[in-house]
Amino acid sequence: MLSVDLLGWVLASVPIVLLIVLMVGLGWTAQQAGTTGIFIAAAVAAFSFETPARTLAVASAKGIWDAIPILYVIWPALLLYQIMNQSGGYDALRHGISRMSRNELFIIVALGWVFTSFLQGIDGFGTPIAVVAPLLVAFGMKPVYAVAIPIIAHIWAKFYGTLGVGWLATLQVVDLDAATVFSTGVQAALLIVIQAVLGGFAVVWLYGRWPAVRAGWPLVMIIAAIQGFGQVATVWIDPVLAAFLPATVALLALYPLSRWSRYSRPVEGITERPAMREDAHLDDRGAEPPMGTLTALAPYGLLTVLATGTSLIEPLRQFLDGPAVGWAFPAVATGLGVTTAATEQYSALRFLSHPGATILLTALIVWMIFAGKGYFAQWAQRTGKAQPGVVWGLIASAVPASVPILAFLTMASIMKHSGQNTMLALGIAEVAPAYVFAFLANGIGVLGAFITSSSTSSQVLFSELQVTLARAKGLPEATILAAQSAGGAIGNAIAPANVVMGASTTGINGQEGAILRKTIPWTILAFVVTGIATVVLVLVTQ
Amino acid sequence: MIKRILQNRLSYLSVSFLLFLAALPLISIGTTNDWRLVSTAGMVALSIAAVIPPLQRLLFPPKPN
Repeated sequence: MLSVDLLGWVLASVPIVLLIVLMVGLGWTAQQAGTTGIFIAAAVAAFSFETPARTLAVASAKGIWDAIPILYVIWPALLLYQIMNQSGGYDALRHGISRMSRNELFIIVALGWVFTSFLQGIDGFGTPIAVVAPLLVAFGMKPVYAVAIPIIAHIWAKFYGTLGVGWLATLQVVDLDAATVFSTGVQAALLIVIQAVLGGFAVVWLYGRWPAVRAGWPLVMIIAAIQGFGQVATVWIDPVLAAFLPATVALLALYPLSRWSRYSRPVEGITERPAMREDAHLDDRGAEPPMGTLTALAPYGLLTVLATGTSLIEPLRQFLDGPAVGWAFPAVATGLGVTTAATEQYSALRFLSHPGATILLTALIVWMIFAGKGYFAQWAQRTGKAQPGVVWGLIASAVPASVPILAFLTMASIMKHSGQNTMLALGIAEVAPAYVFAFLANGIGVLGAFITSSSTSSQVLFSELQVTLARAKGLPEATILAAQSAGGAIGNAIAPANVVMGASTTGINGQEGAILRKTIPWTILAFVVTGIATVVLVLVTQ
Repeated sequence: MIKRILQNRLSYLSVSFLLFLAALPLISIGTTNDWRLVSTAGMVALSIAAVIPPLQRLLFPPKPN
């Protein structure tokens, strides 16, 4: 067991602080900052946490493998992006959406928040960001905002999303009685209501500041109520469906809401639209796309059908869950007694049931059909621009996106195997009195998600520790674990892998710092409000 | 040649990407079977993969806007 000391704690925080300073403060690209982070984390591990070279090697290789499931989404998502982009599909969508509603604010909310959340309900690993960010750009949004908006908007669906993967992972690593498990589920859903409300208001505020908030607040409150309280209600029935069901209801609710005169007519009184390009306008036609709106929407319909089918049809899911690949690793330890057991198949990748497989299949089918109909050649002719080709476009966008993700996950794995993550969490607990710790508990979840770029990994990393600390401090285990779960979701708003994925699908590789500058304030606000709500829950349940 | 690779963003990132991927099986096989040479080769690949992006920044710093 690690013993906590101030120097060790400060050193353990150096890789994270440096990552933020390099990217946000100094404007380094994610590739440069992430790979530098590997060396810093390794140096701290070797010199302060007595981590031998063999442990560092195993940790690094596991980190590379941890990145593969994310890359398995990024590459197919970018393939779909290239196909849509080079065939005029995004322009066809933009034309069609402009006809559906004359209200730009409504469309931003529908695409950036509701559709993103729906995708998170069934898929994960950044899929909603990779799919929606380029759609928003096609609609006339500036790329930095087009990435920040879906990142913030899908946070509420992280913990129970991907058909409850975060919840199921949490149950795997903690040993609690049934009543505490149920209480954790309900309290986590209650804390996540904050994310739905703050997420919705952030979307409209980013779009058009306070005038947009004044125009959009009824829409935000209705959708946040469906998502947030729908999630609380569904937890009582089946936590696995707690994000998927309300996200679907919210998607369906868009139709009656679009008939409401407040949101069917062009929005008035919003003069400042910082998220939109100067030239973006609903009436902007541009070159006539070679396909209709329905054809352009078809890939997303197909993706939804495939993702839902492969997740909800049990025999099919079981079949696809069968084949798995993973690498073997030996047991390793550090001089400070942090041990990691040997494994025959580390973090097995079920490559047929993984969301990447659904996106890849969708992309290949769409590519075949669009090529057969000659859309690529027609679009190049109509715009007068030579297209780079789908494969070349894919390589040019996916390679720069892949390097930082490999780097971040390698760094995270080194920190985990050397005990730096545990030191950070223990240090917070050591100095914080009980109620202060309750306030900070979700921050540990945020930290885990930031380091690993995954709310599920944050749960695996810190859930057991949070329960232990809650017991030691005499706090209700369910509330602290719920706070961890909420924090694990919030941290995704600044998760480097999400930011890199969004940047790569919108063609702004290297501007990750600018995206983080939009999402960090929201993350801090969500952390503080969740912390206060956690203290209230402790007072109520204790 | 190294200078030419470092001056082309896609080239140096592709080299880094491929070296990251190559390191994984080398380290897994090397450490699991206690084959020092193989795991060392994996660590060398990983180190080069990780040093390329910051090295590129140091050698060819971005021009101020």
